[in-house]
Amino acid sequence: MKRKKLFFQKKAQAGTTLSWFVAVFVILFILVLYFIFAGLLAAERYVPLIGKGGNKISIAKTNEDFKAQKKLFYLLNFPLEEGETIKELIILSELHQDKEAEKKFKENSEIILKSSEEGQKECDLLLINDELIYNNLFKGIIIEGKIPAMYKTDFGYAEIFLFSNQQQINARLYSGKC
Amino acid sequence: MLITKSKKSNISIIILVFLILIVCSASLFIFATSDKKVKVKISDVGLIQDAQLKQEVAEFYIYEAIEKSMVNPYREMLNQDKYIESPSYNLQNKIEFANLYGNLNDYFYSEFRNRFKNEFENYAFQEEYLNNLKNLIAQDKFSSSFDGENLIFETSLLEIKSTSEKNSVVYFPEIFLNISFSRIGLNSFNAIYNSKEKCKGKETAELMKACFSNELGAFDAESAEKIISEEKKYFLISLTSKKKFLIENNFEKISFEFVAI
Repeated sequence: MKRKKLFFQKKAQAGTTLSWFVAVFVILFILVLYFIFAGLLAAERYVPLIGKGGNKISIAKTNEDFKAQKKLFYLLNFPLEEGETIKELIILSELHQDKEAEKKFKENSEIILKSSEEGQKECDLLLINDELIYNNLFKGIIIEGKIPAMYKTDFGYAEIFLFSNQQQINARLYSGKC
Repeated sequence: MLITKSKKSNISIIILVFLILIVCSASLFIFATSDKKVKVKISDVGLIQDAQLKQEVAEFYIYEAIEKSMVNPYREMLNQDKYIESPSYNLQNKIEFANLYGNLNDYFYSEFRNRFKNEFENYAFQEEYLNNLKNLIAQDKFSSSFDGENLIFETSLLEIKSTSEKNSVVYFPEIFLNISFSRIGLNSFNAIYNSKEKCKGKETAELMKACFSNELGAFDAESAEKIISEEKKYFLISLTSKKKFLIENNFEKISFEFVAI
């Protein structure tokens, strides 16, 4: 009887050990899968090649737009020696073909953009009614006043319309790192 | 008994395996969903910034229209002597400035408001939020006031929509603009009157000129002594704005003259 008891005890112990052996492999397999998936999820956040990539790009772009808009307003409202502003000179030049005003605003645009807060670190491209006025930003070719779409995400962008006598003038500024 | 014990131990192993499976799945699930939350937060920041950009553009156009609508009636009131109460003219047909027109602020404000609305009607916007602004102004859904120096414009009814791929935001910004005469390069009618009161007693044209130049920062002053008869003389004051304004198709300085009495 005792022998029989011992035989059954050993058999039960062997069964339990085998169960644990299999369980350890299953647990290890689950953990390996866990690390792989966790790694993939982490990579999706930080490596642009996997999944949709990082999200920081969209924030950077809107910040750049903010800077570009601030700069464009700064330029348009900048008063010259007798209080006339760049936007007034643009209106005179574009709508009333005033050559003196045209010369004055073209000459001053570069100086004003460079004197702005960000002007020292950043380059700009200014277009008035699709005509290139000033550019130290974009090296490529600009056709019909349009920067190729693939570059647009690299630069901040601001646009404003100036109105006078039921006519409008389009002023656009691209701004980005030199 | 022993067989049941063995079965019990098997169950505990299975439970352990399942628990590990549950813990791993749950942590992966939280990891994956928290990643989405971060994305939403980031895109929300973009939407708010977009709304703020639009608010600044709206404020730019309002400021533009206010500035133009303040300068033109101001110039006309000076040229047509409407700033003077019961205007009278001396023997040489020069306007005598004694008192300010009593309803000057109301008159100026009503002129301003009409021009402001007309100015905005001429703006041809393409964006929806700017057309909302145009409609809002056409329908008088804004408040404004004028105290003689400052023109205050307020509205909180402008609807700005910002949309991204996943979210959209409707934003009603509090727009508050305070535009003073000094900010647009002019002196208020009250300031001109006060300077006239202070300077009218000066005995020579030079002293008169120096006094007006000192009192009115936005104008260059000239003073000329004029003689009507041997006993009668007066000082003609000419004030010309330092700033040039775009009036119709030219840059012009605002200038006017009066006899200080």
